[in-house]
Amino acid sequence: MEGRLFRAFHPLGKEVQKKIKIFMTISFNKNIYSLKAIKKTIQAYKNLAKFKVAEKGSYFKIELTDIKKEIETIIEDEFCNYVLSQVKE
Amino acid sequence: MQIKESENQVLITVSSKIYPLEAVYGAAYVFLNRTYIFLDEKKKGEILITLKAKEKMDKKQLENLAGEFYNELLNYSLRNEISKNNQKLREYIVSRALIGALGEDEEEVELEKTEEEPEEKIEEWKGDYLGLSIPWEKKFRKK
Amino acid sequence: MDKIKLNKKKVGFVRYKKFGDEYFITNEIGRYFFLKPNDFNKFIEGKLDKKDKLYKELQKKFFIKDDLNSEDLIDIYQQRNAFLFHGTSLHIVVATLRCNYNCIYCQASSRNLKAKGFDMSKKTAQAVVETIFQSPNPNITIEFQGGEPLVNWPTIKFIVEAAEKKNKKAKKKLFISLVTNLSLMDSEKYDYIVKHHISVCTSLDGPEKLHNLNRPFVNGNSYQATTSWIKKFKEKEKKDRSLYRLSALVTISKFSYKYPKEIVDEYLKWGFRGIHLRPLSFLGLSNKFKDSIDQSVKEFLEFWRKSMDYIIDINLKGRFFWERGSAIMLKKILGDIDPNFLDLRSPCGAGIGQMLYNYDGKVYTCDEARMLGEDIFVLGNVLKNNYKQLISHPNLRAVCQASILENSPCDYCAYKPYCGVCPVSNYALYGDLFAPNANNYRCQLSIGMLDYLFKKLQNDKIKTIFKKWLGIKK
Repeated sequence: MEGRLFRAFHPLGKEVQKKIKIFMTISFNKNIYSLKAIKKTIQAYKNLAKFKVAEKGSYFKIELTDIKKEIETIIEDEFCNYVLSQVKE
Repeated sequence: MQIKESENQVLITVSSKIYPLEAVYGAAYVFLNRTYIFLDEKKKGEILITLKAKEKMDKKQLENLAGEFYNELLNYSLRNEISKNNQKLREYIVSRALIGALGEDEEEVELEKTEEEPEEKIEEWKGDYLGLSIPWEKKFRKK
Repeated sequence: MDKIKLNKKKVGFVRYKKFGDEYFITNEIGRYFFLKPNDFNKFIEGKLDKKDKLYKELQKKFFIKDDLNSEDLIDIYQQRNAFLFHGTSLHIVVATLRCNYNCIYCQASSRNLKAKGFDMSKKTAQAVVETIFQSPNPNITIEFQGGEPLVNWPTIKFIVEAAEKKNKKAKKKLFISLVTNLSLMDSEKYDYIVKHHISVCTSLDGPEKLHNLNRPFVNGNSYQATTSWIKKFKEKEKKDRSLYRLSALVTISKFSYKYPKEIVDEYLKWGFRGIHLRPLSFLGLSNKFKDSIDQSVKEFLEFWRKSMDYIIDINLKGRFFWERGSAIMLKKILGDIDPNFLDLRSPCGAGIGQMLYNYDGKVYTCDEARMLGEDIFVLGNVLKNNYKQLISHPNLRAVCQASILENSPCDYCAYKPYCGVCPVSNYALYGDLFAPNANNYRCQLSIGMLDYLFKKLQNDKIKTIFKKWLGIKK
């Protein structure tokens, strides 16, 4: 999983956080997690972040951007748990 | 087992030959409310389980958490085996019980017909094999 | 736990859990047993001696597969699930959404008395009665709820009389009940209630201060308004034993947790024979008072255990007083006739056990669904749809399916024979008809209560008390 923080700089030199952009990528092993479960979770979380789904080798790569600030520290863990609960269903 | 106390995590590896994925899902489900769980398969036939406690735990507590998870894997495997072994018996009992009840309501009641209330034509609902939507009057009318 | 080798020929379908130092096992028909670890291993491995007392007890309770009386097992299973075959029995009618109280936990999203357009019309009421009597169930209960239903008294009278007229031909067992805060009761209404054999249930949350804190009444003291009529009802009951007993419900709010004994004592004081300690639901307006769910469960269970300890003590000292929620679970544990408490069965009673007819004619799967107010739980409208159409609605099938325990991880739980899920609560809490994990809100509550009850059942004196609650003599 990766994440990066971008800081916007004001043209006059003052460091101003115009918009804090965080993104992260979660890699789900295809042998363990189903795309259906991932998509269902994305649907449930659609108001909390933007999602992109890609495949690379034996993993589904889920990119999260525009994450709501208030849940940015927990969204990754909660998202993974929710996907797992949907796989079980 | 690998404990990462600073990250509040414990990592467990299980062989999918001993504990199939279904058992891992089953055990994980029980822990979802108190741990964050992530599964991966770095090496074929080996499932890597990362348990991250939601509340802060020390090394001993993380060890216990892993122990509980192993126990739950065993429990799930046993329960799954019991369930599969008795599936046909359960299906037999349930179908005998449900079908057996359908033929029982033979009692008929004489109803008074009044001139003001003409008889309704009532269609049978094709999917209603338990007879739930058959109105009272039709079900119990004397022939 | 060490790996045990299952004996596939001897071990019937069993669920189990660790219960203290022992293993607690149950089977499909709700029989249970406590086994020491060694005995549990022997049982699973099929190594119990047939001459052993333990083997005979397990065999009698249908745990031994190769020595099974399958015909009896089938009969019991059928009996325990008899509720599946009869159609909707409980019909809840919301006569009005208007209410003269402002309860802090109100789940019904009531409107104030001056609001317009929230009373059931006569036309809708007529359609409701027609629909109710299309149910094939020989037992029909019509329960009036609100808001405060007495605000729309003319409609209540209309429905009562229309139902009685309809029943002259249908000849069902018709039972009518009214849930009211009693503040608008008067002699005329009381006489009508007695004449038409209407059962009344009110709300009493505890001693005066606590009750008034939970249930503010704009026009005065809600405790005084309610208890003045409780007194009258109880006095009449003493003189005429044929009258339905007034019952009362307590709603436990976070203010109630400090007063387990006081709440029970209040019920004893007014002559009630029991109490139903229901946890606060997370529906409707009561969402405003939602603390963390886990914390709520812990606090409620602590309160509930203290209340139950006190109630059991009262019974041990010779006075009969029961707790209804426990009695419902105990009926599933100790008997084979399902109490038909619609939240505690598989599938739940949504639509097939109960229907709710809202003031505007909309029909919901249940009263919890109405409180949520979501269209996902609407089956139709009495002004446009008949019973057959309502019960065939895909929304009903979805909710039923979501409550079938056999289709869910609950099927592995040792408490499955005594439990149930509420898809409406799941939807309110988690945004899905299915709860996302085990040990969710309702699960924690049920497990907490069942753990307590099974522990108490190991005490013979307390088991006898529980059996008295259920009317079981032996």
